[in-house]
Amino acid sequence: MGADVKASLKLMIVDDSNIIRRRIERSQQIARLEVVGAASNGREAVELFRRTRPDVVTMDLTMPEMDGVECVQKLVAINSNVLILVVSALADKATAVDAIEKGANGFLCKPFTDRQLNDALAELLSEA
Amino acid sequence: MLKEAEIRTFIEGATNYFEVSAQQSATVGSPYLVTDGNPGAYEYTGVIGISGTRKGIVYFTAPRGMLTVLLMRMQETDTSDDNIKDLVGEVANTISGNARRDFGKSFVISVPVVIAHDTDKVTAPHRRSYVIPINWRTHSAKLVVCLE
Amino acid sequence: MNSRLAKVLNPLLTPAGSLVLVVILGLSFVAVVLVPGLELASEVADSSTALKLLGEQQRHPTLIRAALESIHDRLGGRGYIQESVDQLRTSSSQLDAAMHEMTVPQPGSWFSLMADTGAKGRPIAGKHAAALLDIWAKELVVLKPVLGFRGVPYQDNESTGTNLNEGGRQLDRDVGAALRAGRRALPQLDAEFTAIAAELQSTNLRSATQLRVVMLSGLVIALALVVLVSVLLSARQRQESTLRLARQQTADILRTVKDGLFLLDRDLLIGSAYSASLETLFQRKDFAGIAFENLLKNIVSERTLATALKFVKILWAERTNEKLVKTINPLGEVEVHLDGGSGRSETRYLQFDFHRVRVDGEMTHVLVSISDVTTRVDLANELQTAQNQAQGQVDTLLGILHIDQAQLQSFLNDSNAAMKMINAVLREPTREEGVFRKKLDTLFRQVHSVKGEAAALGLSSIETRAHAFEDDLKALRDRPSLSGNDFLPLVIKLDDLLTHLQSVGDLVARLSHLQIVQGDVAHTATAVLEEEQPLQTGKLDGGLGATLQKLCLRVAGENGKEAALHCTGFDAVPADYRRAIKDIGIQAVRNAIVHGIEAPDTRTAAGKSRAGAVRLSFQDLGEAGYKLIVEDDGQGLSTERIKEVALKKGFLTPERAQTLDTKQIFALLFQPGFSTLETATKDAGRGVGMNLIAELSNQLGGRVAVGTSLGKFTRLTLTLPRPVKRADGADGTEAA
Repeated sequence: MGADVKASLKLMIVDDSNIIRRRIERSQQIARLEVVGAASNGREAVELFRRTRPDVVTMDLTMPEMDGVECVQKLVAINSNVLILVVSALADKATAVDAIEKGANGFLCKPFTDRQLNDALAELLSEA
Repeated sequence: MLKEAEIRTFIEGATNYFEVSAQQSATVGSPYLVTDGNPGAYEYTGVIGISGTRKGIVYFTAPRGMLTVLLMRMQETDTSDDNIKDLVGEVANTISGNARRDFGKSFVISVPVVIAHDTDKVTAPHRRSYVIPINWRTHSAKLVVCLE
Repeated sequence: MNSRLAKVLNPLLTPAGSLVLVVILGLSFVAVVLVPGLELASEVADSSTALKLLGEQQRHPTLIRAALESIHDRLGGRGYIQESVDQLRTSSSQLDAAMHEMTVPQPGSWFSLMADTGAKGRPIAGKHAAALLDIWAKELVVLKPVLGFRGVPYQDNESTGTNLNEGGRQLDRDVGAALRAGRRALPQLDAEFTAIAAELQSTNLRSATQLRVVMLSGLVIALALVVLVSVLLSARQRQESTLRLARQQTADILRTVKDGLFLLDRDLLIGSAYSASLETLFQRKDFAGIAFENLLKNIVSERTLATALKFVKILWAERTNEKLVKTINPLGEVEVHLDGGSGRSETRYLQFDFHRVRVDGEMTHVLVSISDVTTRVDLANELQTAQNQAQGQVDTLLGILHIDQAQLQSFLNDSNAAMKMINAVLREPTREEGVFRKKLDTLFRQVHSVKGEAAALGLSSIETRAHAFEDDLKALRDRPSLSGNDFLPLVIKLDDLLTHLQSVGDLVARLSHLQIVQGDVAHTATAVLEEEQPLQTGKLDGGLGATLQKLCLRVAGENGKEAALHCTGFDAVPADYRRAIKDIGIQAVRNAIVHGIEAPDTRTAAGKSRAGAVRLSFQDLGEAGYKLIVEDDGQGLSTERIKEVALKKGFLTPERAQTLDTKQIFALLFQPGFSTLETATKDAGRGVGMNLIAELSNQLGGRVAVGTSLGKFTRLTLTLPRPVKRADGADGTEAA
């Protein structure tokens, strides 16, 4: 997929941190994505997901209301083709395994550099 | 009592945050103890509650100036009060989240609580806390670890 | 050139390449040798047949002419002509047939038939066919009347005898015409035949030559084939033996490799080939066919098992890429509990690695490799345990019971103050290396005084902790660079010391409660204590004399020396100075015994008493302040020895050493980190004691002087001003 492919995929950002949401929106990969929404907790995310039908989701894990792993499971149940990148500070293996098992496609550990974010998104999109 | 390796985990989490997010490393001042249950705070504090095998809190507290510069180093132009609160919570969350690498899943961390401007509200649940000064550029912040 | 050739040849030398070569050679054998060979062979055969045919026909023109002449002659002689006519007929019909044979296009060889070229091939006569036919047709025209003759050419006449009848005359004319025509035509035929023969001969020769060439190249190709096939065969044999060797090696590897290796199939069952060490690692046998879950069940925690199973399923679900999978491996270092036989459980640490095995891009198995990392983990744990052990030491109740309450309380207060001071020093904001180093010196002095007093009181648990703290400080001092991170172990030890002091404090508090309730018992204990220490100067000095006495006994005992301590004037120590004087006293006594007093035998040999004497006297000088003198009758100070050590430890350059006077040399003793002992013991060797004395004296605004005589004595004289009313000294810093 070339870099010039414009906004062919819809992106939803799930993170309770505004800063992280904005950082993701600043990523170089965003040229290929159209941000259709941002949610700050799991419940909001599921609701928004139903309405906007995004193809790609970045997902925080530690959030109020509904945590990220549960949210991943719900989103995959709605659309099994969705690509989910977990962006979390939870660095233990069991959490990562859980998230991947529930259907996440990538894992980016906080904190991250712009480059790491870019690479993680690029790798995720390469599966699209 | 906390073990050295455990506190080191938190310190690494904090310095790593600066190293990675701001691409500029932070140094650690000499750690010390606070025995009166009042480790003190700067203007912005992100508190993470810890439950599971360890109980207590970990908080990261920093002055506005430091957080503003950190935001700018992260290419964030919006340095409003809200974003600074967001950042201090995110730092605390990241430090405790990263600690799970060593402590495992039984180390349960809460969503960050941010206390801004009202430093008196920042208190430790136990009398004794470890305080680790984090120096970055010309600024100083504190990482406070207060666990059973 | 050679390399280019090699480039071409190299791929051909592989088994697959040779196989291709064999096929190519086989095909070229067919193309170069078989087909043209057959073609040529049939050409040679054809031309030989043609030559033979031609040879046979060559005589016919002559025969025809002979027959015609014979008919002509016989007609003249009225002889019998039938024989000659028959002869003519035979010859011409044979020749006619041959003509036909030679001028009709020959059927092509089988190859050209097969190839269905459409060409009918060429007649034997080749380009001469037309001429031949033409000549023969003309000849036939003149021969036809002769050949067509039937009956008898004569009539008998009585008078003239036998004459030619009408037919005879006609025959005669025809024969004559034929002879005339034949004179021209028959030599022509002859010539044509000769030409054709020559051509055939040359064709034959050419074909034969070509055939020879073909056969030769055939031979070459066949030879090449033989060589190639034999190479291939031997290569195959080699390959087979390589395979056999590889199989053997695989078996050897599986038998001897230290890591556990096995393959997991899609149903998460273990394959039949696995390394022998698996049996050691898991302390069981027969892995083939058992489920991965059963391998781990009961030896890892349920949570780990659940995560591991999820993980292996993720491995099989190829959705997740290899890199991501590697990063989330939950069995990177897993604690397992094995039944070590005889019912006892053994804890080991295993490291699992997983690799997807693909055959033609299709994932067929997961290769699992397991190594035992117990030693590595144990080593890390050992360090931790060692630290914990140091923390675990707690004084016996008895130990505390033996100490005078007032003394103990004073120690606890001082120690807590020292801890606060240490913490306050740590707390000072620090960024520069130099400041970190300064902190170390201050911390050294603080903890050293606590250690000294703890030792004096026989509180070994506190002494051990303080010693460990000093160890850390020493390690930091030797470090080329310092940062706040390096101070963490200190804070942990400080935490531990504080906790420990607190528990001792709690114990003391409970004891004092006990003493109130059961006063008699406590009194008895104190009484015994006082009896044992007749030199105690009473409560007026806050137990200072007693503390130093105890220290003197212990330090002398532990260093194989004998010493008697004499203290005077301590009841005159002002309250403000008590702490400092105690610390100075402790360091000075310790130094005097360790460095000053000689071993008993050495003393006797030098004509001294076995036991050394250490004298401490405190004097009130009125307005001039106070004087503390510490004197021992030991070996004295050697300026040479001090210089030597200072040089060795880098306190001095050799040039500077030359210029120092005695006073300056003694000043070295007070430098932080200076000690003349090679290895540090609990009592000395860290180079802190003298520095602590100087520092304390400085804090009080005093001066220290050293007097010594080699082999006779060492004397420290501290002059102190009267205390000014200060807010507070060391203990007042921002302490938590």
